[in-house]
Amino acid sequence: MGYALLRGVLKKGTLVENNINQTIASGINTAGTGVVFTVPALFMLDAKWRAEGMAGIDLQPLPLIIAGIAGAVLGVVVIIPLRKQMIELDRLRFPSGVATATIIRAGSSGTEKAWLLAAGVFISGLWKLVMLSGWLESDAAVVAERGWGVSQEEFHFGFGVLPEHISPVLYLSLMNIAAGLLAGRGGLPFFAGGLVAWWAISPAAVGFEWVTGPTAAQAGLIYRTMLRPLGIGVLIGGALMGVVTAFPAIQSALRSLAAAARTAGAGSQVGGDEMKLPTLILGTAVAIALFFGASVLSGVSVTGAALSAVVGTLWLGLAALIVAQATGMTDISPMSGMALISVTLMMYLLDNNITGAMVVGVAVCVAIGQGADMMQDLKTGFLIGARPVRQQIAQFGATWMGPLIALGVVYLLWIGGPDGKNGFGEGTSLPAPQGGALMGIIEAVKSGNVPIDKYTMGGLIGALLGAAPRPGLGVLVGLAMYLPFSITLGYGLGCLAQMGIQKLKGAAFCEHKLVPFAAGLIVGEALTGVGHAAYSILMPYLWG
Amino acid sequence: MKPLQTIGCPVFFIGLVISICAAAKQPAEGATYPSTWLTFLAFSTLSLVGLVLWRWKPQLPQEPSPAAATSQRPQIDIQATLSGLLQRVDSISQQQAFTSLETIDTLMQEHVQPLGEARQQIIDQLGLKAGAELLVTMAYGERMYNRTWSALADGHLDEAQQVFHDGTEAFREAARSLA
Repeated sequence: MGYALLRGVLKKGTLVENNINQTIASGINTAGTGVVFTVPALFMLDAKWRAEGMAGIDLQPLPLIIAGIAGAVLGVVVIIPLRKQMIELDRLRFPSGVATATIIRAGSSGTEKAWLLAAGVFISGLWKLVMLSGWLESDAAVVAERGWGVSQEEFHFGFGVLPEHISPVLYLSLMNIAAGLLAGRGGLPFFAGGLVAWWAISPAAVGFEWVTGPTAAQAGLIYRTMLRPLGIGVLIGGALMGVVTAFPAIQSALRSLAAAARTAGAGSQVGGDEMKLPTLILGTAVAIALFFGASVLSGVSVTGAALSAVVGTLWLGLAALIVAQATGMTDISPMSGMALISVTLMMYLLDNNITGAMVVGVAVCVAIGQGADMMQDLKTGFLIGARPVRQQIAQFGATWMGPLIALGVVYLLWIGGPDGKNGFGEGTSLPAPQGGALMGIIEAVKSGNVPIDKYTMGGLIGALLGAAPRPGLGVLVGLAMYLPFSITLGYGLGCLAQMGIQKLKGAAFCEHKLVPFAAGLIVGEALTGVGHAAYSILMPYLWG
Repeated sequence: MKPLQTIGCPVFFIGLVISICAAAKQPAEGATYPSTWLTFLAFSTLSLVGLVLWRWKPQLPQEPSPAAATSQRPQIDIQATLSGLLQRVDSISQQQAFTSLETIDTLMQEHVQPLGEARQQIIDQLGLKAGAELLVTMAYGERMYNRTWSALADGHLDEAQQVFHDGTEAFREAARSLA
């Protein structure tokens, strides 16, 4: 949208300047995502406990604001040293980053590419409109009974033959399929992870009678209690082992940053386009101090605050790496899983202090969103030829605004409900499902009901996968187990389609025709989604 | 693929899938781990054995196998691709003809992108440390060529010439380090 305004309407800005503009815009809105994933849980939990006659939660905005800003800064500084590893060495695809670069370059790439891009935008936008209109939708009960049909933008194709527990469901998102088209062969382990989860583990669980209850409910139970927590464990184990196996390359990237700092102004080129190491260290120190301050303000003891600042920062760095890798390989972010782990970890460390744990949760969620976004933008920058240091400075300068705006919006939404509260949550038009999930995990930790076995066993499996000669296997398989199969299946079909097209038409065809078309599919669905959200917000004011 | 690696890969995945299935069972009431933990441990260990075999690299020099000969071929290709790129660039500079976007597109497609796609071969041949340094140098060159494209598209010819030169220098440095 920024590109359309700057280049299309105002006729201003070079390609590189447009990249900076897009870096700033996404830096602000992504920081908001972390807040929206976590803070609603505090409001909803407070209201629930008060309604049950229990003591509520002491809601203080200042620690959350400070934690959000600290997280935004930390997310940028911890991920910058990994730019070389992810973009230049691993050459991760970052489908949205590629789509953005394709858009920015579209005006100069020749008419054929522009037409392909426009065709993708049109088809995907139209398809999303059809989905949003509900024309193809059937009642969920009807779909379950006859075994096929569309419900909640998913196509069910069991036809009464395939059992529910192997999840014969396809997410009807062209954006998801397009991400697979851009990833190609590289995305296949993700698809394979989904197949293992739903076509091996799930039938085993049913076959050995590890799940009981009605057949229709078994898939949900297997997903919630087995696959999802195991997936989170595999993600963490895979990412940790990935750091260990790639350590020499990461060390080389860090050395390059240090060398750039030493030779600044002396003509060093290759390592000189990054933000300098002393700046990153200073940024980290300031953010950790803010983190510590936020914890103290939320009522945590000085020792507890120091512990949460140190452990929180270490965990945040790992979580940011996991999310950036997952986004780079698949365009899908496991942010909610990382939020659940963050709050669980901190509630253990802080002796069930919910506010203190949530302060860390907000910081971690904002940080991992920032890390993944920074990498997407840096990938776009790489394809445009931008200087990373300029993008990094731009993101640094703007990132603090996101948490402030998002916290204000969450508060306004909450007091917009009856009697100035309950503006979102179950039974409202804003159900806040991620907040609900986080609320559930907080209550589970308080009652000592956390799937430790799944996290540790999943972690071991992730470590084995992470040590395999194929880089990124642990993160991809973990992510596939963590997500519903409908998403993995659509993505996998995209990967297979790309491989088939490449075999038939060659790599050049894919690069020059498939990439702009797939980029258009991603942009079309995203723009229609944004347009629909704006319409939903403005409609009550426009039409009463 | 060597015999040990051929055995190691399937052993790794079979052990892994069975251990994941065993990990999925819910613990009994009051227990922390499921009753299948022994199965999980046994097959995780089998998977670990498979992994070791898969990653196994013999230390003693051996007769080059056809597979090894195949894996050595890309090194020649990388050097040849780099040389081809630099020769092409020299001819472009002499003709002062690189002001067209199509020329940069062709250069990227025929010479630069194949180098990026050979990342795993480079790491396999040079090791992670030296391979990473070479890849970072070439990535800098690639980014500078991307910037050349952007500068040309925006009509900034002076900048395009400057960054094109910077990119070419990075590829020359990469070629020198390979030689």
